[in-house]
Amino acid sequence: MLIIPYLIAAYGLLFVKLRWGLRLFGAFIVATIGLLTAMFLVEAYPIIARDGVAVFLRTSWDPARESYGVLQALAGTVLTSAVAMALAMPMALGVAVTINEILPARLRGIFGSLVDLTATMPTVIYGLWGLFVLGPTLQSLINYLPGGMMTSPYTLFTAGVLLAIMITPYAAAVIREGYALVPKPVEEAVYAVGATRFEAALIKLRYVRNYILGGFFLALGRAMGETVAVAMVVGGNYARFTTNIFESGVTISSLIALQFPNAASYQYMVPALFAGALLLTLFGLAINAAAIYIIQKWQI
Amino acid sequence: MAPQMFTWSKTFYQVTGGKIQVNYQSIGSGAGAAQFLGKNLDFGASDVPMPKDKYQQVAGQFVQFPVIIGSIVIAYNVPEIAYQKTGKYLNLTAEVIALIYMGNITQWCDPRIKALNPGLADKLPCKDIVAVHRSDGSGTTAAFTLYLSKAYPAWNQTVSWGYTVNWPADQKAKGTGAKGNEGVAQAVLQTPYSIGYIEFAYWATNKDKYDQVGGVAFVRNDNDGKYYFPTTENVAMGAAAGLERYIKKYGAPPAPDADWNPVSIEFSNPPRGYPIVSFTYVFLWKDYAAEGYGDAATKAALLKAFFRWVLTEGQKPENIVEGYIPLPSSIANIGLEALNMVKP
Repeated sequence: MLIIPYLIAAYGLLFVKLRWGLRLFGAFIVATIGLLTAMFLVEAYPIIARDGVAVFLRTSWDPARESYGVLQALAGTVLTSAVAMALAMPMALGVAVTINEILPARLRGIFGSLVDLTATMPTVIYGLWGLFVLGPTLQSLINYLPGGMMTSPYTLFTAGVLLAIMITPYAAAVIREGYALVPKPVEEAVYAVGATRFEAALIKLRYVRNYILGGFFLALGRAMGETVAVAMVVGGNYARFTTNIFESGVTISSLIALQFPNAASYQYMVPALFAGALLLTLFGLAINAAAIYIIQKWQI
Repeated sequence: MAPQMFTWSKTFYQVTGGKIQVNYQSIGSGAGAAQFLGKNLDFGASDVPMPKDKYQQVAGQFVQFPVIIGSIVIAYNVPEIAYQKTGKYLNLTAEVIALIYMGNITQWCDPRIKALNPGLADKLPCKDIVAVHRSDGSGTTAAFTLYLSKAYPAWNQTVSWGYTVNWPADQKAKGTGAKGNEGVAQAVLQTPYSIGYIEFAYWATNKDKYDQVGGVAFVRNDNDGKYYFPTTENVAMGAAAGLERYIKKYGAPPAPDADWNPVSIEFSNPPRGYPIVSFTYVFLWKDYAAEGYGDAATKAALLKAFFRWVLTEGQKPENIVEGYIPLPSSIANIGLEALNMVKP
């Protein structure tokens, strides 16, 4: 108990010396990520010791024979995220421009708050909606086209569309903030050279491209990590490697959520699931590193 | 399992005048067994007996016994032969069910399905079968795949059984997964030409919905050659017959502190009755003081009181949730014997 005043004092001091305080907290965050990755590695060690890197390159999931691989889940994560981003970014840009340009000023606040509110809805509610409404609707829509490719309402595509709806408000919020910060003189200059409203919107979006990129990566992170809603609509073919988005499959996070509860009954399933977590973490770090690289390059 | 346990806990709380509250959480069979062995829980419940490797670590220190019977129904969605249109349900056998999930029977008009259903043969459409299975690990999958392993040996060799298995239909045919019994139920109801296995209780409360799009199959018991519909009587008959077969084979009823994996194997695909039977097992320590539990005497006494009530009063129809099947007295007695082995 005696230590508490010291901690408060140290905390206060850090903020007086703001730069050192921030550095320390930054180091703390880096250490946390490092420790987390190390923990995944330790937990996954039994299966890595048994199979080597093969566990990341195999697509089997056969607990009866203790044979595991997570490549199919990584493929599912990439495919669902790709579908989600392809649909979410145009929607997010549309929302940002609509709120800032088209809606009358009085409605902007209300509409903006409504969009933000959809981001706070529990994901299980999105999942239930996907299970009962979105999945069957998408199936009948897709199968209305010649070819009729969706055999089940629950596929990677269903998960991707659901994710797109879930992550749009995140990307939209960031882009909207940036869009509102475009300096008035810039806006006036754009109109002064005779730009139409549409052209002006395009030029302003170009002006805030760093915000768009920021929104993109924030939304991508959400899409790659989303668990509950995806587990409910992705189908859940934990052993099948597919690149056809109209088939059911699995993502890394949904594989972990679906298989973890009974994993302790098998010798190597828990390590295999941690290997999946490790892969997702490393993949996420790589994506974020790329994001930082691109943003820095654009700023120069 | 969970709905029944919640009801027992609630009723027992009322019966004891609010003095004893049993707290049950549905965390999955595998986790339940692991947490019980880790002594984080006072008792465990699971859809399968204690796995053999874990049993050997604590053999003789704990007891296990069934508390309720469940069953698994085979639901299908084939609008052309929906029960509401034809007044008939499909007949299926373990072999045909296994071949569908193995991806070898891929269409509803397959001659092997027609042969079992002469009355519906001309109506069965040549559409691809969508075989729906659980995407999460589950006791339902364990009971279903154990049945197929026993009744159709080729299944045991290629797929085997467990909470999660590698479904050949996923690779070779239009297999798909869904989360939880409610997910499989929803997928079957939404997907024309699909088939799925669902816990009896989930179907029992929604029979009409299935009859509109298809129905629930009569399953042939290969031991007596008869087709059985999943009724309470037929499932209870299967459970009792399974115990009889065990006693015949091993000379005595299973001991509560023995390895129950052989018992669950004898219960599956029984000599007569509806063949897909599943049990929920409860785990109790024999000596709570020796296992290091605090307040061991009180804990043991309360657990014994609760489960004695579950195995007697709890088995009466008014305390059973719709869709679950009470234990025949021959099986309930094993549990009562187990309670006598728990040190007060």
